[in-house]
Amino acid sequence: MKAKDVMSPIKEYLAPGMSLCEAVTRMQGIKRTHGLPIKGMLVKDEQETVIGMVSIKDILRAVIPFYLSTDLAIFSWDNMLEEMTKRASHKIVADIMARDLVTIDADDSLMACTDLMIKKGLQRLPVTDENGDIVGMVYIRDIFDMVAEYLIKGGTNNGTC
Amino acid sequence: MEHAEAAGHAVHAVVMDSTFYMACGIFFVALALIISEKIHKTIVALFGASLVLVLKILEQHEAFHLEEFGIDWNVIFLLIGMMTIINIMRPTGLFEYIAIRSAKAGRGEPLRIMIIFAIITAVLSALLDNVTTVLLLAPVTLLIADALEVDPIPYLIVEAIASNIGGTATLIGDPPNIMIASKAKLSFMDFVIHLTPAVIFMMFVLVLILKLVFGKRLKTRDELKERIMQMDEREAIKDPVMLTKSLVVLGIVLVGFIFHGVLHYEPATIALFGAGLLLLLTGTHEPHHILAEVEWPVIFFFIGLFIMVGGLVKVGAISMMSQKMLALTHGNLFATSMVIMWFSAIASAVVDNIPYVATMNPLVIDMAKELWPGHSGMELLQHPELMPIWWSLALGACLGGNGSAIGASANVIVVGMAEKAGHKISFLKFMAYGVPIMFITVFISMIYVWVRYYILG
Repeated sequence: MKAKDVMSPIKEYLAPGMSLCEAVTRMQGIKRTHGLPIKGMLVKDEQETVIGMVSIKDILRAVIPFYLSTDLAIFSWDNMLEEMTKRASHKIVADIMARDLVTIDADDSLMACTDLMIKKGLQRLPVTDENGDIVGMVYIRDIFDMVAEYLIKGGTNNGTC
Repeated sequence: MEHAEAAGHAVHAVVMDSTFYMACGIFFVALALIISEKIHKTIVALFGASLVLVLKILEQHEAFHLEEFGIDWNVIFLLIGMMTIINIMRPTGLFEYIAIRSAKAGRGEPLRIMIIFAIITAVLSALLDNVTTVLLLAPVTLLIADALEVDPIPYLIVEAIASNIGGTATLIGDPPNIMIASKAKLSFMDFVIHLTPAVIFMMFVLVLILKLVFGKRLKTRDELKERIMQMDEREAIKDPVMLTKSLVVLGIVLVGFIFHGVLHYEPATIALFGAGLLLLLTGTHEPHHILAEVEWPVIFFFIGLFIMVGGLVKVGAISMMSQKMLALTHGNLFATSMVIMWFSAIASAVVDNIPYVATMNPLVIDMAKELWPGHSGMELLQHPELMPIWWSLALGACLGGNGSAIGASANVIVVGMAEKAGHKISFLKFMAYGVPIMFITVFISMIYVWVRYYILG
């Protein structure tokens, strides 16, 4: 199996000028096959070029003040998360998106996909065709579901582990 | 004696040949490149130094082994030693502990916290180094400003200013002092006796100014103060065992500094002993990451500069400058020390004070040789009439750092941190605080040097 066999089609995108509120609203409205909202979306500019990706981690990261990186988080106060979120709310998608996208070829093997996602800590991997255009997305959950199935099938006594 | 005569002879026989122009050319082009920031200063200094050697302005032996022209290893190893000790202390959480504790001691009052932070920044900068101090205190400051919902910018600028003032107080506080101490063979206690009193007075004045300027402006609400009071500073301590060990070693090092003059140890010996002992106490088998965190670009910047300035000394360019300086002040030493103090302050506000002091040190020594041709060694370096000039150079070069946002590394760091946190400190904004403080502190220094060394003798 190859990346193109497990990838999901991408129907919706974010725009770089969207506010965090707009981006979050759109993300919450898109349900994946397992029924939960999507956790990461590509960003397309007006020329229809993909220029980045926003995941829920990017949004959370934008809320954390940079100075907390030095083990200072233990000194936070009760509603600090809420306050800092309000403060970050003026940011737009272009401020917080990841610009360097890691992608994979449609013809690359599933093993290569899995390896790349684990080594680089990725949850989703855009798939490109021979022209470099993005044609779909491989989600870690989908790969995991396959691995889980292999494990269960391979178990003794018809699926009782 | 022979040494002084040989050098004295050279003073009057500056040959302005091609070597002379090459040495000057390399130095001033390098200086221009460093100021322009087009190329990293360490790369400029190392390449310039390599040219000095390749063009045989200095023989390698002279650059590596002679005190007069070469690398000042005392400065290099003092810096490496102190940086190593600090690198081991940093992750223990001591600085965060002190900062949170101070904010609580200020009972969450914004002005009181600003004053306490200014004082601890000055003390830590005097005993450790300015950069580490602001680098570790600035994040806590931003956190506390957010907790109190006050503007962090005045706090950050005041910390940079306090670190530059505090660093002036001791031999190890600021690189200019380290360089001056090594060249003039001054001890830690010399600095404590001659500079610390002036710095303590400056800190009083700074606190007074802060009260006047911010007394009414900084306000917060009681429930926000409560956020500070509920922080438990003990949670900041990450590694109590290592913290105890580093405090013990730091204590030994400070005691060592206090007595190094009496015991005839160079300060670098004390710092290296501290670093070696603390490394041993870490019990690590992988010292790589600790040593890798030494700021090697700074160390190599010093090495490159020393060689380039050594070239200037050898070709006689420094003697020429010192003769000009003496001609300018007609050999009046009070006038000379005042000129040096103000010129150093202005120069250090505009350019890096490290190359400035590296150039001024041999210039001052050369001036002394001109003035007292019969003297040599300590008699010359610490001639009673020369001492106020060394102190003026130290005060000017250190305090001048407050004059602009790029005047000192501590300033660059707070401006950078503020920007990352979304608070832009413009060049002029920094100067609105820094320039008045620079003028006030240099003015205090002027009065201090005048009264202490020229009125009271």
